[in-house]
Amino acid sequence: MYKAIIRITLFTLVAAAAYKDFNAWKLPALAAKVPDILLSLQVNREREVSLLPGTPLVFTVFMSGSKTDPPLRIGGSGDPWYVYLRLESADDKKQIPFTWSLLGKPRALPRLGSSDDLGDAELYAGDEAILEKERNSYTAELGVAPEETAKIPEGRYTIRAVLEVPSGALGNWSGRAVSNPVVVSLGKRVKKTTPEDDPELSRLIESIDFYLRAERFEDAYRLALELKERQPKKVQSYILLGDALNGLKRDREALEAYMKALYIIATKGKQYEPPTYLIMRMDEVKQRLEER
Amino acid sequence: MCGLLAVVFALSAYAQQSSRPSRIVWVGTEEFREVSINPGRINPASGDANEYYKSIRIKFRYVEERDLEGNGGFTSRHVEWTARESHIVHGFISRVCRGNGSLELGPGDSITDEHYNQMQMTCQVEKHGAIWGYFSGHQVIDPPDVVEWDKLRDDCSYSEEQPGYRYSVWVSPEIDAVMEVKTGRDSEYRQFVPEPGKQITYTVRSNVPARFRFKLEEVSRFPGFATNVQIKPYFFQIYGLDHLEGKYEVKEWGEPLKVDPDLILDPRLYEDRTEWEQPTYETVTTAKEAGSASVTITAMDFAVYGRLKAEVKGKCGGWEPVRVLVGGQEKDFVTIPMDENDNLIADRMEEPENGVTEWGYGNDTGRDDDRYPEGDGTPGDGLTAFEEYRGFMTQGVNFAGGCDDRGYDLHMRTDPTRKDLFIHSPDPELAQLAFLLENSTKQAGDAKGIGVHLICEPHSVGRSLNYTLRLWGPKEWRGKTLFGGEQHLLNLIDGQLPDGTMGETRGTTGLGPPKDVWGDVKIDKNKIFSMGDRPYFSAPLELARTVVHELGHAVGIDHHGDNNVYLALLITDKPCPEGISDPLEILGDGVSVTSPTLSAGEEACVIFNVARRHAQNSGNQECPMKYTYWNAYESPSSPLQPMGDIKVTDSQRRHATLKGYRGEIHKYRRDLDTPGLGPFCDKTAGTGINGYPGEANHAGDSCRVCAGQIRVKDWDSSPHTPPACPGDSGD
Repeated sequence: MYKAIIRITLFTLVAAAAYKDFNAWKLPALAAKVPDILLSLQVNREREVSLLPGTPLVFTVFMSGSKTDPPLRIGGSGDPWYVYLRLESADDKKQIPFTWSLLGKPRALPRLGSSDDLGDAELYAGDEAILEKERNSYTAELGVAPEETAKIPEGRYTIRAVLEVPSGALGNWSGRAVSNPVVVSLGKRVKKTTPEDDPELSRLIESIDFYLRAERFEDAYRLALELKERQPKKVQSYILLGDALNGLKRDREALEAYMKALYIIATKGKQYEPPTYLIMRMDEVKQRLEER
Repeated sequence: MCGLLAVVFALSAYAQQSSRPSRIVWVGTEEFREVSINPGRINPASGDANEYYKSIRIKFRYVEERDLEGNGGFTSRHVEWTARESHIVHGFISRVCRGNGSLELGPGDSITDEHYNQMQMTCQVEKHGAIWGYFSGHQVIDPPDVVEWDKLRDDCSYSEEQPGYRYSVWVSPEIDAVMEVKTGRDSEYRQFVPEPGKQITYTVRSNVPARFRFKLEEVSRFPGFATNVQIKPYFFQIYGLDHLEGKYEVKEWGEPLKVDPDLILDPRLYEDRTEWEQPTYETVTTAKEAGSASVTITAMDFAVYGRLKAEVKGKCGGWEPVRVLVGGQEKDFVTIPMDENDNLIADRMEEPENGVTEWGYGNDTGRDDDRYPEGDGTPGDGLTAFEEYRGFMTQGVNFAGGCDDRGYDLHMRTDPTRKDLFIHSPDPELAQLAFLLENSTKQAGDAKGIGVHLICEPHSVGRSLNYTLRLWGPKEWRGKTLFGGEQHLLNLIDGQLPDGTMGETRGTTGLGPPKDVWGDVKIDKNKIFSMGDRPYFSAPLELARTVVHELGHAVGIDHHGDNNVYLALLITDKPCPEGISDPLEILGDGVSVTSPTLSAGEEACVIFNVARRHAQNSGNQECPMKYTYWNAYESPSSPLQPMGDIKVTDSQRRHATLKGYRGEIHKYRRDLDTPGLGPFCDKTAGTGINGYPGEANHAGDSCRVCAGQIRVKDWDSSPHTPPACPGDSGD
């Protein structure tokens, strides 16, 4: 009798555990299977862009891990995780018609708490990607320069990002992860969304921005002067010019350009948000001037 | 009476009638209808009348029980009648008799005098002359007969019809069919909370083999399957309902939405034609007689309402209602889900800690009275309790590509006591930081901050969140309010800002609630990251603060004050303050003041980004709305005094005008001014650099209190106006 009770109890416990497991399994089964590594791709901050040839392309790859305990590790010192990252055509019949390069160093944003416990608020830019609970959002930006896109034949290109880590590479993860595709349409006729949209102007501004990020300050300066000629009353013209001069360490001229931008802000009526970026850049060049 | 005796004689052949059951319930109707019009003179003595009308309808139910030898008889005889009979002899007399009632004649065949007395009609006679003797006596209802067994068609029924007479009788199956539904705390019925694809089964049991018909009635037809989603092909895949794709709730391009019922009899469960007949989404009938039958109902929405009824049909007779016992109480139907107070919300979900949510959805379905955080005192988040109960599809995973697969979506029933804000961000870094708004909107006195939920692009139309009911209704149903007004979500995006700012929220007032935000909440990530890590600047921290700051605007919070100085001239008889001002030449070659004329010994110094008392940099150090990274601040003891416009010209005779001030400024201590990521301030009191004594105090108390401005609800409230503060007093 005693044994029978134990058997019944054991059976009940096993059945209950099986039922619980079944339910735990059943619910995720309804949802999509989540891969270990997830990539998301944007081009010029969108999923689909229509541009004039000569407009730079910035592909932003976001990477996260779906399992962070234990952390997934990719790459390591001297063998950075992003060397395994590439762009490829999502259309099997086409090759991507451009070369790209890293734009700045890939970064990882820490998970931030409140003011009481901000945690580690430093931006991580190490070679090893550690996908863990506290830091699970890595970003790499891959740029295609204006002169490069100017050579691309007009057409529609579907591109995706691929992370392919061979077994034997540093870290504890190997395999292949593929992002969503993005679409780039290059052509002379670009759809305007508002009457103010000017694809030529947009190409010019984005090119300056690109050269600044690529630290090609001479190119940025050349185009910034062109922008200033076209839009002499715009704050942005002087900030971009200031940034180019700042990069060239022509500090006095940079400060003048920034001051001009601030003057326009002050005289056109206060803008709602502060020009924090401008303030910090002005501070940067002033400090250098003082140090001389 | 003689009719009843015929039955007795008929029983002589009882032994030969093998199919005759031992217990028979006879149910039938007998009707008499007569109209006779005889114009002209008649002889009253003959008993004729000029006008004669008769309409008698008698319903009967007799129960007969006999043993195998045929011994026995009626054990119960029940009759029910309505009758009217009139005789009119023009100029002499009219008699109108009426009667209705019901009577149990009891067992046996006889009818007592007392029974006849009770079955008499009541007559009224009107005489118009000296006449007597006509139409005397009583009009009595005569209980109908039953026919011999072998006259029954298929051993079930008999009917005959002649002019003025109709008779029908059938053998009732005397079925007792019950659908019993348990309502105990752990019962399947009480536990059932609707979700697409989720099923619940009900069973009917009968005392004799019979066929059953199940009907869903008064079923809700809420468009979509949750408050913020319409039905798209992925719906069928995710919830295992692939076989219904293209058939259920189809929206053809350019056509109105065809909204199907939220509770259905899934055709896949009823496709076996040997078991089921003529299934539709709302009705199904068993094909064979059986002692019981079960029906499975499938929910197609996260909020459903419907009534299940069942009918039973024996070999003889028509469809009769099945008794429904819900928790031991007899009802006409069972509601799905269990909803005793009829408020369209499953009873289980009305209580907190119900196993699905920590909170409950009791009380009024249409209320929108979320309390936390208190904000500007406007209760609610623009979503009714019903909409919050029905829930929202949200971005289920907070990482890269979280919106790339609808299979990652997560359904969420939101807290009706907590204000909820829905944010769509295609940028995973910004999306991750949006959650910080929860912490910042939670004050010490608040149980909860704003509930932030990430959603994906398919979870809204434009920026309209609760669009399913808004676009396709119903707004009210069964006397309950479902939809109160349109509530908007926020788009949080990365974008290039041209004027040196790092974040921007634009709108009718520059502020929320969400409906008043124009377009997107924009953050210029590139600008922030391009600064790199430098002394007193952390890009992640600044990005986080900018996100919370802009989202703060989007829920109605203005800056701590308004009158900071961006670029101006300080007129002073002292040297220009070192490091925080510049000589006029910085504005260009040969720049000088032309108006007004400066006093001897005075000079004009260019000052920029000066934090003023009680303005944008003032107040609580921890508050994300406080400005940081400034250049200078005005002296608390010798604040800036505006002196109007100052005109300047350069060597090329180009003119410019700037605001002029007198007073003192000090260097802004950026090293002491970390970006705030704490709760939005609930007091004006300055803390940190704004709480220092004497000249070290940077900007003092704030003009506005942030926590008291928060508003999430888009509708049904007064316009949102932040408290006024001193503006630019440069002139």
